[in-house]
Amino acid sequence: MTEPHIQLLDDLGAEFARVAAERERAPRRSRLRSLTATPARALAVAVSALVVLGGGTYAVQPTRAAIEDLTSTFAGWLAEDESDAPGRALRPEDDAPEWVREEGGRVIVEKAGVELYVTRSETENGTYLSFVLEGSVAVGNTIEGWRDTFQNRSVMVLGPGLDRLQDVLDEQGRFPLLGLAARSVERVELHYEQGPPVVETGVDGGFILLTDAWRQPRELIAYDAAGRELERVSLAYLDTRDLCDKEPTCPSS
Amino acid sequence: MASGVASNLTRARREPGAFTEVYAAYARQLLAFFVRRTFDVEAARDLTAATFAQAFEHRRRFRGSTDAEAAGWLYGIARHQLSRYARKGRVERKAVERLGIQVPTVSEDDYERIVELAGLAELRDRVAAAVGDLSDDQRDALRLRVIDERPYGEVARTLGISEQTARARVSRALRGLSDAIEMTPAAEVTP
Repeated sequence: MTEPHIQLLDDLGAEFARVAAERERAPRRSRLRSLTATPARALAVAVSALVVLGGGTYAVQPTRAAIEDLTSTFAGWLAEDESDAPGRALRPEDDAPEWVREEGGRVIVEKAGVELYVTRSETENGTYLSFVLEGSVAVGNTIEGWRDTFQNRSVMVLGPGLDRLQDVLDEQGRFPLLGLAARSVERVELHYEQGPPVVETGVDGGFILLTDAWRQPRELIAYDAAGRELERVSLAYLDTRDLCDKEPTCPSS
Repeated sequence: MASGVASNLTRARREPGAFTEVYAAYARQLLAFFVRRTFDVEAARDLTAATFAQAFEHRRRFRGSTDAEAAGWLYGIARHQLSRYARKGRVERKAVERLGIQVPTVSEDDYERIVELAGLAELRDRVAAAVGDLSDDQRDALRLRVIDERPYGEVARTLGISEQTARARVSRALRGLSDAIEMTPAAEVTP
């Protein structure tokens, strides 16, 4: 018996073929730019009111002058000194999107199955640096743009890693918060309005903080190896408690 | 067993176009799988799209080497989608939106063909027969709880039984229906 022909399956198949072909043709730079042009919209898919780009919108003034700013983390690599590249090269087992792999992306930091990637690509507007929060969401800018953003900054919060498609939050009601750190930063602490902070030591160019979705974050504090405070960043905008209404993994607040 | 699905899924890591073969092998089965469980053609369409979108985004995570493993992996995503849908009453669309997939509308002709594909007419008959096989006590409890959406306390008061007994009757009735409508794994995995 012949099976009935279902046009919608053909049409849906054509859509997947189109998306796959786009990935193969790899107009990744233009795709990346279109995403990064509206990062807040892209990230708002799963977490509302979470993403802010650039330092001025949420950073408070550093409490101490930064010894090295964020530019130092990427300066050598941007000058094409591969020996001074941040993080590590991708390995075959890394779960990086194909466009990240093809653009020679690197892993800045990894934790709990989440990886923060950086790519460097040449465009008609100059060298473009992109930080990849998950498969199709990246935060990118030209080198000049990043230089302005990084200036006098020790840390910068990029946003949540949203690669947990099946579960936005982990089994403890947490989501990964990704960020960049200057080489002078050795420890970062995420403080909530209530309760103990999340502390990450041994920071080397970036961080992934497993952040409780049910608690209101207050600020991120960066310290150097001597324990000196380098910068405080307000996280008051980062209210994810509504996620706990939709996910079963949050403990009672 | 679908031939070459596992190899296409593996190949799609580097050659995304190979994913279209995975879609071709399982699209009909997954659509039928969802229709049989949701009784809603449009929800089934959205769940099918969401499952393939998630599979496409996560294709690097497939570690199997056989077609059975590929089917298991794909149906694992499908069941998770279905579970979320049942729990939250809506289809998870994030992956579809991220990929920019335009989900097609369901035409009248398609609607009839999808119902035919899923064997819904037969399934309805089986459900009706299964409901007929329930005891009066179980059928009454099931109607109040599932069709009328009454809380268990009210079901218990209406039937003059304890809440625990009401829960037990509904549970047994649902188990009976589940046995009647459950498709065999072979019917779903074999193209």
